[in-house]
Amino acid sequence: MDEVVAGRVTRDEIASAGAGDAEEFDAFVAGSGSRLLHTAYLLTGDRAAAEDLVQDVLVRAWSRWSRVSAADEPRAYVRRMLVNASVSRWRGLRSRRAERLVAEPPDRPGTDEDPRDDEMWALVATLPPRQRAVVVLSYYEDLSDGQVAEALGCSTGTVKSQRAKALRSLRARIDQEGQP
Amino acid sequence: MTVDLEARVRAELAARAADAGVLPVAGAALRETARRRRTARLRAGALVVAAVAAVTAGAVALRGPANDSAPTPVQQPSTTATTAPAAPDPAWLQVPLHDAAYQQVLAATGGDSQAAPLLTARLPSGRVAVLVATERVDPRLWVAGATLASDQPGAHAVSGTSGHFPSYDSLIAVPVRDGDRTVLVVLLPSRLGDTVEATSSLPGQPVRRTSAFVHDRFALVPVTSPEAVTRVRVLARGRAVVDTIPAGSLLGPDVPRTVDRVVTTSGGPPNQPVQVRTDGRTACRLTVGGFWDGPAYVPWNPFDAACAPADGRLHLLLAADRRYSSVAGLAPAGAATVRLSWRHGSPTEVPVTADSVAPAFVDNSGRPPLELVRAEALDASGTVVASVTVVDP
Repeated sequence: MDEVVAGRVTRDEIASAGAGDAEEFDAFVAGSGSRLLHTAYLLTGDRAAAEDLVQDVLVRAWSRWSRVSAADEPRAYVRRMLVNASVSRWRGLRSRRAERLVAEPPDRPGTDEDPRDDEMWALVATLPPRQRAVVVLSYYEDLSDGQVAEALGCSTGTVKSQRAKALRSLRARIDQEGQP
Repeated sequence: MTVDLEARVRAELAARAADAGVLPVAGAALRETARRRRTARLRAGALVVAAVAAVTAGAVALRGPANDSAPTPVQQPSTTATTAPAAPDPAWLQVPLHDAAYQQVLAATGGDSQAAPLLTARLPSGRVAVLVATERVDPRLWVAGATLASDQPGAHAVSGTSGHFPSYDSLIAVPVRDGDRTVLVVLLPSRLGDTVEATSSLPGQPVRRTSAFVHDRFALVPVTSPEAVTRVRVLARGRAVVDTIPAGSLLGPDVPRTVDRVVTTSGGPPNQPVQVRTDGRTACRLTVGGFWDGPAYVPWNPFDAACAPADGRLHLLLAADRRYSSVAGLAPAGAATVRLSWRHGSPTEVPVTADSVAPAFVDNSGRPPLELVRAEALDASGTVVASVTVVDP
């Protein structure tokens, strides 16, 4: 019978979730959760989606905490999960974002004294998911090419070429729109 | 040039990151969600197997929604009052799901591999409605719908809508497609009623009510379209026991659940129009969800609400978020247009939708309320009959 039992978890995951160190996990969430949220927000451009993404990833991280905590850098491990989840989940959303749809209202009303660069933010939002991930990891997380490559599961050459493409694309759009 | 660009990107990302704020949950809540999710997934697996066995034995009766032209319930209602667990019900999985078809459903609902099947039901056309759910943190339950062309393994799926709900204890309502028609799938938290009645309203059209009987705590109610559904009532022997705006978890208590008539609506974007709804006493602006041609990423939940009394005066209906929402309002009787003056640029005029109770307008220019300075209602001759100045929040 080929009917699916969807979303089935493995025995390993069940076992590891029970064997994890709750205090260690809670401390990790307290210490790294907000930073991961910031990265997720830059990757998705949507605060509610970023919260969902980080929470989903942390829930999954807890279910395999023995592996995560055994890593040299648990935060890098979880960040890699986050980037992969973001790229796969938000692939194909460029057209939606271009229409400025919002899934949920921001909690804070805006002000008209906003020094931020709305044009640049809008341009970054048009980048394909992997290019955007390279840009965020390089320029926000300040990761080396090797670390970005590890997070994305690709070579450093790919990281360099993706970043160059992203910058060329941003530059072309700025020139096209007559920006300084 | 590249250095400048890199510096500009770096500065912008650093500034934007702060917008995300702090993670609103602690590790303990995440661990609890992991536990609940594991339990739900294991239960969902058991439910699918049980449903397949039941279908094989011919023990599951499939039913469709009430016909559009015959909204009166035609089946014997279930009136048994029981305390039900806050979890999926085996009876909700009425059509077996093949793996290939389920993968289609996951793609149509957004590709969330954590989602577990919540409901399958055959629609009158032979198509199959499928709801999937994921428990998230807050607690918050994400539910999305899709429609399979048939119950065959290779059936193609089209997206419906998705929504956030507080938990399985909530009234869950998700519109799905049935060809050119729309069916509202309603799941009740317990056996609290025998009939579900949905109100649909579009500007300039009569308010329409449709209903369907509750069967195994769910009902399939034909509706006009997702964005037209303004109210859902659960009836027990003719008495309303629930009366609410469906998927209204983002709405505060100041939004009357009775605002069921849509006076006017914005032109776009197509799946998130801004509406002004009224119950004759109060009028509210809401951003509402509809169908999206791609995966059901955009929740159906109404949000960005703002209300004012329908008292014949000029009122601006501005949501708390003044950066991304749009301007809407109520106009006095006799007003033909409303002139909006902005911080920058020339004033613009918006037509007023004639309505005996709540003449209203929605600005389609895309300019945010943040830039609005003043609104003036004009009659047909261009005379200002009322005005209001925007007050900063």
